[in-house]
Amino acid sequence: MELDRSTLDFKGPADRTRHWTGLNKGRPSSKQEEWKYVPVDVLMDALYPTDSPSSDSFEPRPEPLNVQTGIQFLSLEQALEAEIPGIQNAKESIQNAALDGLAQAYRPVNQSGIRVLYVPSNLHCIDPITAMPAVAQSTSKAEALLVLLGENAHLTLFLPHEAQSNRFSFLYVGLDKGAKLELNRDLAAAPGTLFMSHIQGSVAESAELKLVQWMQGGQAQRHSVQVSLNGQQAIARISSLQVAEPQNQLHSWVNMIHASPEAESHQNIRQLSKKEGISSFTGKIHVALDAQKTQAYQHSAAMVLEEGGRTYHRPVLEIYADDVKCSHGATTGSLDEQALFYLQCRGISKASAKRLLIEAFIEGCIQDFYPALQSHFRTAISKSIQQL
Amino acid sequence: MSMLEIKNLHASVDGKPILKGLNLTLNKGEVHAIMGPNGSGKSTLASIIAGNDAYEITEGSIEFEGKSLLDLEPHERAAAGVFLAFQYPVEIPGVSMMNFMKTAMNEIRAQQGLEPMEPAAFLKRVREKQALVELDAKLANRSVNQGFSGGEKKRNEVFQMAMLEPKLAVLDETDSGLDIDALRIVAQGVNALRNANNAFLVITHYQRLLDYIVPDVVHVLAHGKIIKTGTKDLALELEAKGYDWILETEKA
Ligand SMILES: Nc1ncnc2c1ncn2[C@@H]1O[C@H](COP(=O)(O)OP(=O)(O)OP(=O)(O)O)[C@@H](O)[C@H]1O
Ligand SMILES: [Mg+2]
Repeated sequence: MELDRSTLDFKGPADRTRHWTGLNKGRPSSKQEEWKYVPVDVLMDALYPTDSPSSDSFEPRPEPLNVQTGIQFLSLEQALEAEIPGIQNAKESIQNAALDGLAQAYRPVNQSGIRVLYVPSNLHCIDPITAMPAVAQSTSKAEALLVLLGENAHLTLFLPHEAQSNRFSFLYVGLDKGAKLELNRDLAAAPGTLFMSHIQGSVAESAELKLVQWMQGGQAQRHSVQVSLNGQQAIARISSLQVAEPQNQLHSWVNMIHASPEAESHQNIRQLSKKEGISSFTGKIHVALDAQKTQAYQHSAAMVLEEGGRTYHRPVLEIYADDVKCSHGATTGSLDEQALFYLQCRGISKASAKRLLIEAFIEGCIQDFYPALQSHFRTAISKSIQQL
Repeated sequence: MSMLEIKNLHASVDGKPILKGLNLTLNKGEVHAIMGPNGSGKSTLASIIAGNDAYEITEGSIEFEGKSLLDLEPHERAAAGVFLAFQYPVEIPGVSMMNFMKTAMNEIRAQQGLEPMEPAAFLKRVREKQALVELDAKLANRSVNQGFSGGEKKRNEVFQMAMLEPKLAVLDETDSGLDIDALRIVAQGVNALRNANNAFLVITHYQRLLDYIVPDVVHVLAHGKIIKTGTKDLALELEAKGYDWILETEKA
């Protein structure tokens, strides 16, 4: 599946229709109807149709599992009534989430806008699914999605957040023992919009959360993630790829809390900034007093592509345990002139040489995305840097 | 028409003059060696031929096959047939050797109005040239020069030269840091490419290399100029006596 970002740039009514067809997949058409999940390829075909079959070969997909019978999409009331495990915590976390001032302005979350996605214990969803966020009708209301995975449940979830207007979204992730969630977010915002989100995650023993996000566009985006590792062998991997276009501000904030011993976390950030684009990353690692044998790693690399672009990293370490493996590193640079010259000397034009170097720089993050989405983001990057 | 004609070349960096009236003519089928003390401007000359814009050309001209090189971008010079084997090859993390070479080949071909190379033909050529310079095939899967040993980097330069088959190859101290066997292999690679239609400019500190790559002409570059030109015997003389005697004669 070759994905072409160009179909996302609205060029005319036809594109717009196609785009909305994609976005509306899975959305209830009336209040009575329930939300449906959409397999990622169905959605991608609608969003990014390919006229000719692509020659890109992908591994054959495993036998599709009939996830319809397993996964549940519920309203908050339904979830409370059904006593979905973890729903109380999730509900409280919406009410108590430590949001910053700007995000506070968007509270309270519109109660009727809360959706619960529940994967019961031991259900392995092999096919990735896509949950479309609700579109906030009014900027004063936030949308919320609560994703709960029972013991040993597995899910790959794709969240394309297309912010067409100002929005705030809230996501709660609750992983029970041994559960695995791979979450890919496409955080794209229309020019001039303000887009914020907060993720509150709770990861139990031997469970694993992998969150990979792509940020581009809008006037300002600010996305915060707070994950609490609550059991031994709990793992969290967060990757963020931020492409600040001119006059674009992108801020990401991670608070990784090691509440239990022997848990592991990774933060992997790549930032690019163009002329007058600003990108920042604040990453906190908090290791509780008894969280011995913690492994926590953070790596952030930034590249300023044009004069006037700015990037910031702010690592914050709060480590109270004494037997831990922790590391953090941040690098900022611009395109390496010597490498550019070397490539040019071999016949590669300056523009292509830049592209090669930038692609190499972001590859470490691109590879964290679900394989079928990788080429989509690679294409988006090469489009974005074409004019450099 | 000579292949390369440099006339009265003056170049400076940050206002500091480095080349001060350099003249050099190289014909098709010839191998010229350039020797000279550290800091005399050899790499600067090589870099300028390849198109490094860190240096300002204040006077003079460089013609390649009758056309000014100075008007061309580095990648255009490469497409025209100019190649520089770097004294210090650059490490480029994240860009694989294969992707790099494929991009280079195809961008050069595109500039020449040719279709991209068939993948099978490309791979065949890679294997052939790797064998020529006895370059470990595993290096092709790594990032460009990253973690290569000093000797591997130099062989990798000769491998790239063999891949691109330039008309004019400037080898900047490709022999330094090589053990005897590697030196022989690199020289073999160069000699295998040598023909009546191409030319080599070999920068070296050691006469030893010139036993393997026998030059037609040897130049001495000092203080930003060619101060002496001779046959390969000049290299032997330099090896025995050092540079002082020429520098003295020059002063006199
Ligand atoms: N980019 C630069 N900026 C400042 N000075 C430079 C630059 N490039 C070269 N120089 C200076 O120009 C002079 C010539 O340098 P160059 O590298 O050409 O010498 P070389 O003959 O190749 O020496 P070696 O035998 O040590 O390789 C040196 O004094 C060097 O410091
Ligand atoms: Mg040198």
